[in-house]
Amino acid sequence: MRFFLIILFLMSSFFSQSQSFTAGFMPDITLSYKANELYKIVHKLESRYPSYDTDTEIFKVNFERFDFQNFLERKLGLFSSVAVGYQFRINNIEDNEHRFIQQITWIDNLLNFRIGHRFRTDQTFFDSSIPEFRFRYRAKIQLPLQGQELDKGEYYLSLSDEVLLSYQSPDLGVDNRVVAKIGLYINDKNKVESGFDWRAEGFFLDNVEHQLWFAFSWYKSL
Amino acid sequence: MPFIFISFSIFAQTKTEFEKKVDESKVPSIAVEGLHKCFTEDVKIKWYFQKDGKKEVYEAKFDNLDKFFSVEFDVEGDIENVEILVDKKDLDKLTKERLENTLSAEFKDFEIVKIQKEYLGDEDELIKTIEGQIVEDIITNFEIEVNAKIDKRRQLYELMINENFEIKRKRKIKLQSTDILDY
Repeated sequence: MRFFLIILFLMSSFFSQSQSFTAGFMPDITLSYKANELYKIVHKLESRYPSYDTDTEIFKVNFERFDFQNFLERKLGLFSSVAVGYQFRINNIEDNEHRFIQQITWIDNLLNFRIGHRFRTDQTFFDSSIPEFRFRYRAKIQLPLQGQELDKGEYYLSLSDEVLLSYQSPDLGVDNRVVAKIGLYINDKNKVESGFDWRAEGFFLDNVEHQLWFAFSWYKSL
Repeated sequence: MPFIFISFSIFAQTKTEFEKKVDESKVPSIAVEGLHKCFTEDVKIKWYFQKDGKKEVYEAKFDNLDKFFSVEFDVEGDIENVEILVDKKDLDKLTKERLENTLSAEFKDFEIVKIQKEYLGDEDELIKTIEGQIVEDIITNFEIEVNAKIDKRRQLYELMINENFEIKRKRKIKLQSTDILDY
């Protein structure tokens, strides 16, 4: 907690001039299971608890939103797949969202680490506003910390960067997300990760919004 | 009957390898000192302890002479083999053709993912190989990873092919889940 507060202080000092800054907690769980040799079902639950911002300068844990994602994934090759998904979002402003997601992913296996590439498009429909369309690309590295290959009980470093282009008439937006986490490969069916997710939203707008989330993820497969 | 038994033992395995990075001080000194003597310049060596089934070895990995080496030592520190990562396009035409013929006889649809040349010989021959010298008559095998389709299913295989281009070992490689990279 002390470490988190120090990071919070440093980040809020840095962004306090002309940009807004929010920090909080973001846990998620991903559950996946094979339907057959080709298809897989994936569920992801994610919630966000903003706990500090530069407007109020008060530390208080608040509920913001809860996302429930469901995907149907089809293998394309040994290291590639496509998936379609639907996300229902419950949030604290009573404007529920329905999001449709399409993605293609592939993995480069290098000598010391793996890179996962993900192209994703999504379309979000709101109860009381016009739809938003996004195009996203993420590169994520999984780097074993105790050898060249990841074995049971070993730690790894997970680093990613994602660029998001969004359009909600008449506005165009660009966001960027950098994530750095330490992961524990308990076994192939259980991985946990913890670290920071830094999001910069609204590039090219007057007020760029910076967010820092302390994230905890559990990837479980059956 | 013996033929059936041998076929089963060669072709019914799954690779179960465990590998962990270790500090140089944990490796038998005979291996560490012997390897450092091979280099005239400072070469950064990463050491690993590897368990493959019941077999336990120490493995040194390093870049030297623009090549990526893996050198295996037994738990006493005696050198066992030298492996060098090679690019398919760097193989001579005849070797490439013979390897592809061997693989074509085994798989209808395949793609080579990785090739390592494995050198087996006595200590002097293996040290000369590390030093970049050409050793006549040293045993040269190929350890190849292949992405192949069998019965409409793609699978990653590791094959050990000897210098007569015969498959001596074929193992399935269990792939790690990709959920953390996909979602």
